[in-house]
Amino acid sequence: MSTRSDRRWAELARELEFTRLPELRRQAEGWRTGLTGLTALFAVLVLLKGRDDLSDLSEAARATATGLLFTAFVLLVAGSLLAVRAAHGTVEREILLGGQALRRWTEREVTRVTRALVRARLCCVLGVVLVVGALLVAWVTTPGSGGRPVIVKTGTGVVCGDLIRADRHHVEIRSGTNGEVSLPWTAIASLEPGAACGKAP
Amino acid sequence: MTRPGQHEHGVPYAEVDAGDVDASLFTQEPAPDGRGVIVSGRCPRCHGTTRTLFPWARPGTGSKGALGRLLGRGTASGAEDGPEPLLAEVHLCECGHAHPQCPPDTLYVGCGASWRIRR
Repeated sequence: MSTRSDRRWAELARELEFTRLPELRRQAEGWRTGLTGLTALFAVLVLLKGRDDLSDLSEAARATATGLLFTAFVLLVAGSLLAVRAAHGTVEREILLGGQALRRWTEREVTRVTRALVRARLCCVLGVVLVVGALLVAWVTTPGSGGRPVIVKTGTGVVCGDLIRADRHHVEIRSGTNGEVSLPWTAIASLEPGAACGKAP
Repeated sequence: MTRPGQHEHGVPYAEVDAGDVDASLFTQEPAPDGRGVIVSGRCPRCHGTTRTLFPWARPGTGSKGALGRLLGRGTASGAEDGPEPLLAEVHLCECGHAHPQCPPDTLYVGCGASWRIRR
């Protein structure tokens, strides 16, 4: 290391003595902005979005989609925190500040910031991929657009399927298991719309 | 005319490397107010008494965060900071005398010499 470089590091270390408070305040502002954004994200997701979008899925698909969304959420939050850390640092302990100590710290910090940025980018990309995966799961496993099925309870059992026709005498239903079924009104105990066939009542 | 070992006020300011200096010629002690560590001794170039404070301070934005400490990458206080200032730092003359041609805005008022301390 040249004499000029050593002197420059020493001067930088000494100048830091006069910028400690503004530097801490700038750091606090950055974290405040980042955490405020995350808090707003939580509020939107938890309070406004709700949890009923997956209610039409089967149990397995709902569990898969929920797991993907939760993992994506954790990854996106972690990515945001890593990005804030890279941009604004974090609260740290004090060191004996000299030119060479500052130079060593700067070299370490460059490595840490680079690593945080790489991880933040990885988390964000993975989070988006998982969100897309959850959407695909929801699209693929959501029942067809033929409308909500009807659940017909008779004296002998339950029939679930799409309503074909109903007149004064019969109700016709297309069931996935029984095919087209015609049920007389006299045999029907109840008829109600259902969320999906095959789900527990 | 100055005697050998006396502060040579007439030495012109120059940013020169004075090489390695024996550690026995310098002392390192905590600052009385606890602000840091003071390294003191005689400048090898102008022979003035030089005292430099290395304060406890945060170098900037960032260092080990809570996660790093939890994962064991953080260490006890001071361990990450490397060796003590006496041997780790490049020392600059801070004898307090503005030698001829000394820049008015320099942060180290002295003869401009720099050196490392070796055992």
